[in-house]
Amino acid sequence: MRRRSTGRGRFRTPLQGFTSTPRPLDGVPPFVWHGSIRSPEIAEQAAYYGDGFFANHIYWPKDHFQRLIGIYRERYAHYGHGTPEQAIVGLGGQVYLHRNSQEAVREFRPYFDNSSVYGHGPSLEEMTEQTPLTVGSPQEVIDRTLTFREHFGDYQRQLFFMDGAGLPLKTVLEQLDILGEEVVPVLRKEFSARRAAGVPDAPVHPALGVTGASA
Amino acid sequence: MKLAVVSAGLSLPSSTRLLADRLTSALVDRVPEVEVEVIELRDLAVDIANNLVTGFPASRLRAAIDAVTSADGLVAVSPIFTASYSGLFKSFFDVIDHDALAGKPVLIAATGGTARHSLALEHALRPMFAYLRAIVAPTAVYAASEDWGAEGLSERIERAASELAGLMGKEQPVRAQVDEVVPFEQQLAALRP
Repeated sequence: MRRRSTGRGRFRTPLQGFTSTPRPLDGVPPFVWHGSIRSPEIAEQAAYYGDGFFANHIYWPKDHFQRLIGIYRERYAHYGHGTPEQAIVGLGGQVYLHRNSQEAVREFRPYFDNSSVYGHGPSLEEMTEQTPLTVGSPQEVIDRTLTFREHFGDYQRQLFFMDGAGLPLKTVLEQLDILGEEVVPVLRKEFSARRAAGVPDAPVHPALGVTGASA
Repeated sequence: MKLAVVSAGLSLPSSTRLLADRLTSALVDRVPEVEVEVIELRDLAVDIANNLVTGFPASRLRAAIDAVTSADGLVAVSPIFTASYSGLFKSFFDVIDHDALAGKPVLIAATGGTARHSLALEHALRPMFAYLRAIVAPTAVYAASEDWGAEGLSERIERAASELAGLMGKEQPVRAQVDEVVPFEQQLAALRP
C-alpha cells in the first residue's frame, strides 16, 4: 500500500503527496544501512540505531575504512545491540575481470588512465596495491576479496563497483557475467565457511529465509 | 625527544639542506638527546603530487608525515621561489591535516639567491604556520648566497636554535583524541528546539 505524506518539518522543505520508498513488505520494514565515505559521525549514527554500516571502500587504503568500521563496531556494542563482531557491516570494492589476468590489466588500463578519479595520478599498479581496486583473474579477485574479511572481520555484504571509469555497457554486462558465474558463488561459499559462530548472516526479508544468502 | 627536519631543496648538494643541517646541529648542541629525522621533499615529490590527486599518502609519504606530526619540534626550510616558499614545500604541508601541527614548535628558514627575498619568511612561511597554529620561533633564518661567506649567519642560526630548544622544552597543549566520536544523542539534542 502506498502512503502519501504531506506536511512540513523543521529541517526540510514541506512534503506534498510524497511517497518514501522502499516500503515495508508484509509489515516488515526494510533493513536500514548507513553508508559513509569519510564521516565517523555516520558510523556513530548507524551504531546508535543498531542499523547496518556500509563503508564505500574504494579509492582509498583500507586503514581509513578500518577506522570507520572499528568505530561502528565498538559503538554498536556500546549501545547494547550485540558484540562488536555481531554488528552488520557492508563493504564496497571495485574489480575488473578477465580469465587471463594480464588481459584484465591490458583492457582496463586505458579506462583507468583516463578515469576522472584514477587518471593522471598513481599508476594502475600502485592503486591496485594501495586501494581495494583489483584487476585480474576471477581467482585473484576471490583471493583479494577474502582478505577483506581479515582486515575488517566477518562482514555481511560485499558490493562491487562494476561500471566505473567509463566502461561501455557491453563490457559491464560481460563483467557482471564473469562476476556472477565465477566469483560470487565461491565468495558466498568461502565467506560462509569462514564466518565465526555467533556472527549473523546478512539481514534479509523473512520470506527469503536462509536462502537469501550473503555476499 | 624528536626533531623533524623538512628540507625542500632541489639540487644536490643543496644550500637549503646545508642550512637545515646547520640549524639541526645548533639544536643538537643544546638538546643532545634529541633524535633527528630529516625529510628531503625532493625524494617525495611524486608521492606529494599523487596525494593531491588521490587524497591519501602512499606509504613513504605517510611515514614522512608521521615523523613530522609526531616530532617535538620541526625545522622547516624552503628555497624562496617567485617571492614565496616553493610549491613543493607548500604542497607537503597542504597534504598534512590542518590540525596536526597545532602547538608544535617550529623554526622557519629559507635560502635564496639574493637577500632581497628575506622577508618572504615573514610574509609567507610565518603566516602559513600561524594558520596551522604552530608555535613559530621569533627568529627566522634566511641565507642568501652572499650570507654563507659573511658575518652574521652563524649568530642567527645559534639564536634561532636557542629559541627552538626553549620552545621544545615547554609543555605542549594537549591535542584532541583523533578517534573521538560525538555521541549521536548529543548530535540529536543539538537539533532539537
